[in-house]
Amino acid sequence: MSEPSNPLHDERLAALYRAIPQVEPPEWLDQQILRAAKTQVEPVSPLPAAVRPKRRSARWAVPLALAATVVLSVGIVRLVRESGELATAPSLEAAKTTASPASQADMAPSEVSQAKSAEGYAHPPAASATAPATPMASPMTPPALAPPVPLAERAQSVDPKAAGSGQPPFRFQQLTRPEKPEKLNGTTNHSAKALADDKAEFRNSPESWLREIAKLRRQGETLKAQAEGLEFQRHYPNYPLEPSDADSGKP
Amino acid sequence: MLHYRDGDSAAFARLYARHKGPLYRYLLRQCGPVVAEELFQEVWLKLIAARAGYTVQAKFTTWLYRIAHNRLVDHYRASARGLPLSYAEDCPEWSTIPGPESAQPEVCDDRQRQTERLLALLAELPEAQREAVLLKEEAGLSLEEIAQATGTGRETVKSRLRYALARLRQGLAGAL
Repeated sequence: MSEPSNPLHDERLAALYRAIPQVEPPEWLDQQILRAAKTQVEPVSPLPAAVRPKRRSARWAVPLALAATVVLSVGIVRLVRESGELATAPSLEAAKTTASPASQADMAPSEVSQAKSAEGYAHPPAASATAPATPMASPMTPPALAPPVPLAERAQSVDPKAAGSGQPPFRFQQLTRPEKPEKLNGTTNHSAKALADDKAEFRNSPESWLREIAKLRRQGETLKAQAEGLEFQRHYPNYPLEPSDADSGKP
Repeated sequence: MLHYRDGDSAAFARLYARHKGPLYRYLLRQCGPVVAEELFQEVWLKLIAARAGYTVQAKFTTWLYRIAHNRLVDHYRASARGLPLSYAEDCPEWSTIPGPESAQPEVCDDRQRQTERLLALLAELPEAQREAVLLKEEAGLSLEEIAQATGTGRETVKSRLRYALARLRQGLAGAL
């Protein structure tokens, strides 16, 4: 009995098998597999340049929105504080009308200093007068940067009887501001600022202040002189005044 | 494959070009074109997915056909027939299965008809025997490598091959 040398290999069978037409996988399958292999190895291709800025802006959108929200919130809080003070103004005005002019003379030094400090608070809101009458118009205006309204202008709008009531000038200024729209233009603000600076200088010493009051009186500006006199008395309540000077502080 | 693991996609293209035909025919002659395409794609995608962790533990061809064999067995198990009996280590039908009825020498009168006859005989072989023949002829694996790829013993592979060749010779008797 003869057996092939290698029973597990038949060369004729192998040759016949190799003669079978070689079937290949379809082209679409090749492409699909090669694409999958390439995707696995290579990183994701960068986005087109036109798309990148969008992503960047989207990345910054949230912080930018937060910052804008914070700025707006601060502005609104400040505005609410100011409008809250304004909301109390009618009651103060009522108190002002019922107060007698002689109450200024009855004020204790501490009350005078309170009025003085109230005047100090009065300057920031007065600065917002450069904006339209509505307080919502310029919530972000820094108070320190705006020029203060001169005292003489305030005195012109002040009822002489009410001026000596001892009420803080700030309240009066807030309530009377809409009555003087012609003072809101830029030229007026510049001249008012210059005048205020001049007054700030003569207010440094009581003598120069009194001289200024006397000068106003000589010029016939009695209302301004009276207003300055009242202001002088608030600043220097114990300063000995001559009769002529003392008259300037009286209404 | 090591080059592909290191990021050279062109290396994969070369690898694919070398092995795609034999692997496709290995699958095609066991489960038809539709399933073969599906399994072929799954095998390659599995290989691609295993790229990062690839280490040289065996010949690449053995590893590739090991993946293909496992996927084929999964396919058999998922089918209604289940895993064919011929995959059993001690398959009793190896020696008792009769030769193909159409194995008539006069049919194989020319080369083309001989190849057609060979394909028909292959299709009639038990699955495990057919797989052993295909791994030997298409992939060019040795006995040991077929044993590794199919997860069986060397002697089992030897028996499967011996019976398969005997049946093919019997079917092609007179033509060879």
